[in-house]
Amino acid sequence: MPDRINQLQQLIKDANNLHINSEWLAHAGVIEYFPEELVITIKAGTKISNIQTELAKHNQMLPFFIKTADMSIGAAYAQGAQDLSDCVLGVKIIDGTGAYLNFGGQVMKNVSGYDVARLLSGSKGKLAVITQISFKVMPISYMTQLSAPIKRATTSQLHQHIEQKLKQVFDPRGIFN
Amino acid sequence: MKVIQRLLTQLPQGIVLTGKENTRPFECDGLSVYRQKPLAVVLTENIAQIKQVLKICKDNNTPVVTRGAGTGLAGGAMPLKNSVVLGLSKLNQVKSIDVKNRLAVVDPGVRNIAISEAVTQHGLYYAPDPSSQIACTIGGNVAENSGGVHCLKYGLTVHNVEAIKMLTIDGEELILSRQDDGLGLLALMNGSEGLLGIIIEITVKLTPTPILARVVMAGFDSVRECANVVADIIKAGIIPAGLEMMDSFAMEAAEGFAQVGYPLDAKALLLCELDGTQTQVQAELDSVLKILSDASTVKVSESEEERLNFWKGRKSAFPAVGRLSPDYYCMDGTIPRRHLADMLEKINELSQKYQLRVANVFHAGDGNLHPLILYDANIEGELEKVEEFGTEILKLSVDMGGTITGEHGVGVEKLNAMCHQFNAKELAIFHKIKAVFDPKSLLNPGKAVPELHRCAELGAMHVHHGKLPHPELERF
Amino acid sequence: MQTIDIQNLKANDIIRKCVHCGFCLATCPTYQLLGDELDSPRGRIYLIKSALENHHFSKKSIIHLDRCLTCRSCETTCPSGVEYGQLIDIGREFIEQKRPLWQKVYRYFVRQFLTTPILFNTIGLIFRHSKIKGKPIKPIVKIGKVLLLGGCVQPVLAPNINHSIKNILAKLGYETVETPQKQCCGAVDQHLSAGHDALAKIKRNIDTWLKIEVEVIISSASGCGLMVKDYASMFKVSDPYYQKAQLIVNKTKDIAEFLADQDLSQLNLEKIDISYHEPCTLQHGQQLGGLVDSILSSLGYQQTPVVDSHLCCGSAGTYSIFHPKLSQKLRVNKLKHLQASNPQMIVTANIGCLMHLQKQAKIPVKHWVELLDNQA
Ligand SMILES: Cc1cc2nc3c(=O)[nH]c(=O)nc-3n(C[C@H](O)[C@H](O)[C@H](O)COP(=O)(O)OP(=O)(O)OC[C@H]3O[C@@H](n4cnc5c(N)ncnc54)[C@H](O)[C@@H]3O)c2cc1C
Ligand code: SF4
Ligand code: SF4
Repeated sequence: MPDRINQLQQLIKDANNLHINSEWLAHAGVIEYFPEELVITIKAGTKISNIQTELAKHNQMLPFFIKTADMSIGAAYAQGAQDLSDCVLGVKIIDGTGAYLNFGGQVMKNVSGYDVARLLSGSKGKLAVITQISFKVMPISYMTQLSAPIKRATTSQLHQHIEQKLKQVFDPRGIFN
Repeated sequence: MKVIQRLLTQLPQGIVLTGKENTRPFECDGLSVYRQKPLAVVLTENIAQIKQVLKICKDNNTPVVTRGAGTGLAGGAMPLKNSVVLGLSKLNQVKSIDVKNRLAVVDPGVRNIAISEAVTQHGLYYAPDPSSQIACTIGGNVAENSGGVHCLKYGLTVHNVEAIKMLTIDGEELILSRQDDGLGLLALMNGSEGLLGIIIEITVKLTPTPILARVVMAGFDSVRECANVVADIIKAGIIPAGLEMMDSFAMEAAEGFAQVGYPLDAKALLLCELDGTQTQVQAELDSVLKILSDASTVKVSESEEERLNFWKGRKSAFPAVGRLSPDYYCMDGTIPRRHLADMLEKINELSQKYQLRVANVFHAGDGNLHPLILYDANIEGELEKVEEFGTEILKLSVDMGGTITGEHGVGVEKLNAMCHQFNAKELAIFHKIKAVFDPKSLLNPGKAVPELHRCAELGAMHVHHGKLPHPELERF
Repeated sequence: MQTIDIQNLKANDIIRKCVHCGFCLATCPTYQLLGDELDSPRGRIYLIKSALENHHFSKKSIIHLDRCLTCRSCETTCPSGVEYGQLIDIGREFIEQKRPLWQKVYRYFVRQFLTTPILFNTIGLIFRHSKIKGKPIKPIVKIGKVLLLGGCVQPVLAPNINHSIKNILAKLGYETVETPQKQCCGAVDQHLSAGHDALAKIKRNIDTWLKIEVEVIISSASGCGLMVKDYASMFKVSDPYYQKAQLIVNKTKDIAEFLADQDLSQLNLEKIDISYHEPCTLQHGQQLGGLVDSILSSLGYQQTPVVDSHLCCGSAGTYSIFHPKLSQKLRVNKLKHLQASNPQMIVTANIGCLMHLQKQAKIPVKHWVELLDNQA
């Protein structure tokens, strides 16, 4: 297991109140990129612009709307958007107990277990620390104009209640704020 | 039984089936070797009735197993002991079509293909097309996050569902949409196998029918060559609308039914669909034909009728295998495409080791394999052998960086394999997610996610005997 | 699919071929209407399997087998090649013992009425659909001789059908002999699980028809044609009647099969907008789907595809008598789809469908061959 992951696990176990951002995460870089598989696996602290440079070398791109390439991919994932979530294939996370967990993978289709990799997209850093993400990428020639996806806050009490409960599943001590 | 009595008295006559005789035909889904009779089957006709069933079951701590068309291949809709089957097949109306925004709102029991039929007059269709699309329901598709021949380019069910309405075990309605800010709850419901809630209404995205679609059908002298071509096509920067492979066994079966004109002397067959405008298709076709220069036969569909015929064979391949063998066991591992050829060779070796024939027919473009292990369930001990064989294939999939199930789900069939793919902490998270929605564990309990002690026992047995025991269904 | 100790080997073979995939649910008319697995082919196969495996079988299940139209749409759909039509016959025979007495009596009388010419001919006249139009024509040149099956109800209800066929054949140079005995092909008995009575009729038919020297036996009612084509399968291979039946089967053709090979350019066509209803017995039973369509379009009849053309119209032999509600629903749906293109006439290929559809159709329903013998 990479050193930084061990460090992060320890930091989380020791913490009572954490605000996750990419500086704190300090975990960046492309882990694996298989152009012929249309899959890239990246550490969550990687800047989007760096990923784009890497993909462009093979005439490929991230097939979702990017507001600013200056942010980290982990941050974009945490904010969440329907088109980004569509391309997520797998994540590795550290939950609020410090456990390092793997959901999904690097393949296009995967229905083993619940889709935690897509569930956590939009979790705003409140449920777990995302350390790495695998995305499906596309040849540039297949992409049309991308536009900003619409987002709407939910007003349903039941919905909010379920989100609350799910936070407790991943962060039972309530340390991510 | 109190539950049965309440169901019979509180629901209209004729929709509650009880007694061995009439519940037996519901004892299994598309995987018929695993069977269990339920207490009762309720074929609900509206949402109010579903709520009533849920209430009665909750009051009596009775498990509920939701059923669409029962075409699942993992035992997802197989009843549990003393459970009530909640059948949704009567809820089969397309409620509204929004041509401008390319959306349709449908009941959960609408058949997948019926959606496309209903919107074809508007030049639209519903893209995900499981081979079972003529029969399977959209509710079942969402519950399994089903894929299909055209998912390489157009996405899986999760990519084509705009919103759902679901019922929790408490009978409360919850609407989940792609536009929700916050956690990906809609994605979570896709592939939830009936464990988190009952999906009662689906808003699906519709796709414009392409101006032109053509299928290239190529035969190869070896499986390896064919598998390599799959990787080459993607490497060349082409995303076909469909990219499928069949081996000679599967071809023979499909040809027996559909009389397509598949090249029966080839060892492997590739079907590659290209769609778009006339120029797009021609450009892609030219590139693909170049890549196919080593193929033993190449044929391109010349008419829409011929194109559909090429697919007809592929789409009926599973049941057509019933012509060659009384039973088959369908595996569903997904692996990175670059390992396709190796995997197929390994499967071939295993087939010799176990002395069981295998027919391969699968979504090559997605790396989603469907080895069909042919066997005879009437021969004692054969099923156990098949299960062992299957487990080996699934483990190989995981070891190659893939997954145990790409689109059919875990159900009861792949519970043991789940232990191989996830560790105890990950499985614990799954159980806790279920508890958020269903604290008393009444919705399809015991399916999809193995109990931790099951994996522990399995691990222990691994060490002691070096082989896997067969699933004990009665334990639920 | 796994089976446990099924004694009937033929049934066992058929059931084992079913892989429980559920494809057939999609094209079964009763499942489409009722949404109940027990009223689907897969469910019925399961009920029969249970019955043969010696599980409890009561009148609770008879209703589901009765509701089957025997349209065999499921057979066309089944990729695995399950011979459902044969299985349901075995199943029905097996469960017949469980049928309540009043039903047995009722079914007996319906059967006798339809298959006893003296009874039916008198009352049938009241329901007559259409009379003969125009004069009979004699062949000018004779290139062959055919035997035209009368059918049991058709000559009384719609005599013009065979009249037209005789004229068409005459123009093509064929002399027609008609069956001397206006007797049922056996289908009615067979479908009401009276295999014994059916067999008696079949043997009598075989003996009579073999005496007539013709190369071809033509049927103009696809239901009867299907039954006759199945004659050989009614006998064990060792039965002397098996060979004889095989001779009959080899000669039997639906009128569409016969006309498909002929030059029809000299015929006098009735020019009218039509919509064609394909009988189940033709498309699923005889597996001749699309043949009549192609003949009609080659003759210049333009047709828009009919939605759900694979589904039964609800006539299905005696079905409309025993299951009026379901039969009605199917007819309503069928007529809606058939009339979607605003045709002036509906044509079909089986007397049962014809009479059944006509009862509710606002426009005339005829046999398609009548178009080819225009008397106007
Ligand atoms: C021959 C054959 C070919 C197939 N090909 C493919 C293929 O290409 N791709 C593919 O992905 N699958 C394929 N399948 C598998 C199967 O058809 C799909 O999984 C399908 O989505 C199941 O739909 P169903 O309506 O039959 O669901 P069922 O089998 O009835 O149920 C499946 C699961 O979903 C749950 N469920 C059903 N409806 C609801 C609901 N409304 N709310 C909550 N839970 C629900 C059930 O509890 C169960 O766990 C194939 C199956 C067969 C037999
Ligand atoms: S389609 Fe054929 S194999 Fe499939 S369930 Fe129906 S009868 Fe059985
Ligand atoms: S014969 Fe027709 S009605 Fe009977 S099961 Fe088959 S499709 Fe359904």
